[in-house]
Amino acid sequence: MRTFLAGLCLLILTPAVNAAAQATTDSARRSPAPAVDAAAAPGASGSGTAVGDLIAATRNALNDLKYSDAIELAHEALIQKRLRRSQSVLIVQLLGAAFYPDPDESNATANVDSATYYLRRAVRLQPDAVLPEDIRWRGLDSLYQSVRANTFAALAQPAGEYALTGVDGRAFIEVISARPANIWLRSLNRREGTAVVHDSVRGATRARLAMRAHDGQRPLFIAGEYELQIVVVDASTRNSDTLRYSAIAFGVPPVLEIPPEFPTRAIQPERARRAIASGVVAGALVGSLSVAMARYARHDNAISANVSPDARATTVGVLTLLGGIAGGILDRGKPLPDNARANAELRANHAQTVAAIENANRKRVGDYKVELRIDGEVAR
Amino acid sequence: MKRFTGAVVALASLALSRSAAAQRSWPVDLQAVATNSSIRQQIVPLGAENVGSSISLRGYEASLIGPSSGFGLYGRYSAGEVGGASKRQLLEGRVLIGSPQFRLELGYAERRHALVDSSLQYLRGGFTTTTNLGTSGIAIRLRAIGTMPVKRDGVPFNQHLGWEGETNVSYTWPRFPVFAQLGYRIESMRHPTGDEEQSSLVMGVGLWLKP
Repeated sequence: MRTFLAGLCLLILTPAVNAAAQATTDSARRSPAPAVDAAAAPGASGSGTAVGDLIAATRNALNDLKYSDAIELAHEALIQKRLRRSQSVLIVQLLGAAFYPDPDESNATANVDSATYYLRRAVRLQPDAVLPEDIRWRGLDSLYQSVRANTFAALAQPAGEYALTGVDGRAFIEVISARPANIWLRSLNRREGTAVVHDSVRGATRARLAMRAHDGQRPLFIAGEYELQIVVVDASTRNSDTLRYSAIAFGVPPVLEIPPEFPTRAIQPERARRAIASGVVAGALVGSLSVAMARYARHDNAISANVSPDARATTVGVLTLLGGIAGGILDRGKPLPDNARANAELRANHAQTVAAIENANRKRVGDYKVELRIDGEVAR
Repeated sequence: MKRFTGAVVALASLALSRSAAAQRSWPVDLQAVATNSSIRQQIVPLGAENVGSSISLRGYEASLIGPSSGFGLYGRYSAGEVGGASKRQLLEGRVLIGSPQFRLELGYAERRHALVDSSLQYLRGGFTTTTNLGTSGIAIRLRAIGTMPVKRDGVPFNQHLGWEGETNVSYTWPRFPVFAQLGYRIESMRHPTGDEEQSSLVMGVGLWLKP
């Protein structure tokens, strides 16, 4: 009868408890604190605190094979405020164990669905969490492995504050994934709505993603509010999880000089134009004059009256025309060394100017400092 | 067919030679050429019919002009067998003013006149244009010269006047400053004893340093 009442009570309370537990775990996930701490580790279940007492009582109930009591105590622990992530993980693991008792030790009926639900919650809270030794048995291990294999989740452990300097002063965020995944770290500037991808890895269960203050061309963080997003996509199933963290950046980005564009209009031709036109014109003109001279450049006398013009002039005229055309076609353009020198000087001066500006910009970028404060995880 | 083959070979060698290194530039325009002129000569003494003959002259020409100074010198000499004897046909010197592309020429010449069979002195002046067709090595030249005797001996000016016109096309080897030219020249001279006309096919080879 007592068991029945307890079960009825559980059925009535479960949705509310679950909601509360979800809120609590969400709250826990928002915290940038480390996932596991000594107080919540197996064997040291937060003694001295209300939550710690409840956890200890839950463990005792499990040891005494009082599964219904364990479930009640665990639910009570879950609705406590200011739960740490490690405590939440432990509580839902205990709940999973309570719903899935060892049949060799107890005749209690296993509720596989509920056990699976809570174990999945545990995996989502901390993908690499292991079951405490005192609650493990072969069947629960097997179920936990199965749940872990079918649950995709990721966990990040950002610090509370980062100091980024220039291009090379990087900060890192550790990310853990339940399964091999492709992971991206990006920042979203809330005011401008622009996103920047800082780092990514492929097919990893653990990643150390880096972010920088400046990429050498533009600042990646400027003063303002940001949302850091860690997008984790299961490499095999394409399931995804996105972890979001509010952040505030402080820093005045350097003003960079823009190198002048190369003055292409000032470039002078380094070869003269091909002499096609002048070849044709000169060939035609001089060739015609050759014929004309033979015909008309003669004194008005008996010679011009009796002797016809020299036909060889026509031959020379035609060859002159052909020579002019051939010369124009074969010409590649006469080199203009003065122009080539002037162009080389122009290029060298421009390169020198650009190098000086780039050096100055590099120094300014190298001195750029950004302080990034992580406010906490954004609720999903 | 042989002429055609020769033309093909000439064109092929022209194209091949273009792949060689471009000719360097020189500080002056210096040209020295040995010529062979095939001349058809006509003379017409006063009151008589014209008489034609063919002669062949060998000659030398040289010119030097500084592109920056705008001044230069030109000299020409030619001689050949005339009437069974080797005779000097022309000895000439000119001062050049201008550039290698266009220059005015003023000079003095001793030229053999066929009618009197002796050399007469002339003042000559005119211009020469030279069009170098870029890097092709081909150049086209036009020359026009007027001739006036130094001593007119009371003869009217228009009865002494003569002129000379010349066109030629030349090709300079890209690797070496050696060139060949083919040209046409006509000279028409007046003298109190009669008129003379020489129509020449001029071929030459020489050295040409271009600025």
